[in-house]
Amino acid sequence: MTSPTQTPQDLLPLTPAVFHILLALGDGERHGYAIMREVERSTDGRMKMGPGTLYGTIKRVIAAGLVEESAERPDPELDDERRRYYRLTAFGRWVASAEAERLARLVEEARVKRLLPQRGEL
Amino acid sequence: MSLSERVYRRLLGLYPDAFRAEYGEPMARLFADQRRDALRDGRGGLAWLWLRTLADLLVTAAREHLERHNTMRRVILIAAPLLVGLAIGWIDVHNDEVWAALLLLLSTTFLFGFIEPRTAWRSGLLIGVGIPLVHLVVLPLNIIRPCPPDAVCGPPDLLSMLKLLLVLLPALIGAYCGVAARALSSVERGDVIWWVGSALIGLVVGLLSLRTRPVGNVILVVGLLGLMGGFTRPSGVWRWALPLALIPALILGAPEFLGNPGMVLLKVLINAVAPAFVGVYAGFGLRWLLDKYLPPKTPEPQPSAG
Repeated sequence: MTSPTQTPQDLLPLTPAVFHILLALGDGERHGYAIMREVERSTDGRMKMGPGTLYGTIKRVIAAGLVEESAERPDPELDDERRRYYRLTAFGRWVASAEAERLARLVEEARVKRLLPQRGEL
Repeated sequence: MSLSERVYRRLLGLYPDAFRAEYGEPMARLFADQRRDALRDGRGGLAWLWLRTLADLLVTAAREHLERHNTMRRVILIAAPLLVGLAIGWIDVHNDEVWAALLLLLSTTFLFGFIEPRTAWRSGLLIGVGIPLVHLVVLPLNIIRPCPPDAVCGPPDLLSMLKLLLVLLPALIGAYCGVAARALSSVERGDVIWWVGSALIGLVVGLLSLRTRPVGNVILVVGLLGLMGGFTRPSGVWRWALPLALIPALILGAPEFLGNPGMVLLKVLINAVAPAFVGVYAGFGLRWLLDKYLPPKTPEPQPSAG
């Protein structure tokens, strides 16, 4: 099922939906609704994921070994036990970091080409 | 349960069974959460939610169904090289022209190696096997040329059959040249390499074309190479299609140019420029269709890495 030679670079660039989901899981495990809310928050409401997009993407990132379903509930007292929680795998964190670095390099390139203000000019 | 939730649960039937069994319940639950949020904005919020959800449902349900067709993509990638091999074998037998068949063999295996580098060995084998198959089936049956009265006709002997398998060598060479070209084109200066590469390919095709008659085979080769480029490098295809089209055209047309320039230009247009561009945009269209309707699976990484 898995290729022994796969590196993060083989999966880059990530689609926006995949990267936003990995980003949403970057600081801990979340269920589907919490992932959707976190993506909305981090994009100032510009990216609204429907159930099909969210769970279709979750299916693909699980198949790619980037995310796994968590067996534990962060706080079972406070939450509905029917909810399914997801978390990043070590490889998923590696891939998300590689994508973030790739985007950071692009932003730096945009600064050099004066498409963005220089660091001191903000 | 609200009417909206009941309707949405019904609509989940549009997804494939396996997907619905795995994610149907959390999706319905997510929709219920979204509905609760939307109602805070009044009825307008609910209408807006339904609009977004219906669009999401139609697109993603179609995508989930199409994803199951990866098998079809694999079947196409097995059937196509075999059919190409049989076609080359047929042309080879029909024309009795070794150079034309060799040129076709190299260019088509190159094409398959380029498109699917991981299965280059399979494409090379399938295309290479097609030629002996046609020889073994067509020649003994005298389908194309009836046996001359003074000749001895019949099934090829064992040595001839083994000799025919030698075509596997150029078939695999072509396929792995395609793999190498794919690897080169993905490096940082990929566009420059593509341009130089297409000029070199044009040069080789043009030189081999001098020994290849009829010119119809050149049209086919240039068209196939154009198809490869359009498929794999959809952006700016015209830029590198030009050397691919013009260099063989110049090699073919130059010796006759002084005699009748108008006729030579017309020949060049028909025999090289037109097939190159038709091939390029056919490849572009093929890539678009494959990506849209038969998308490849997401690569599966090594879980223990990192």
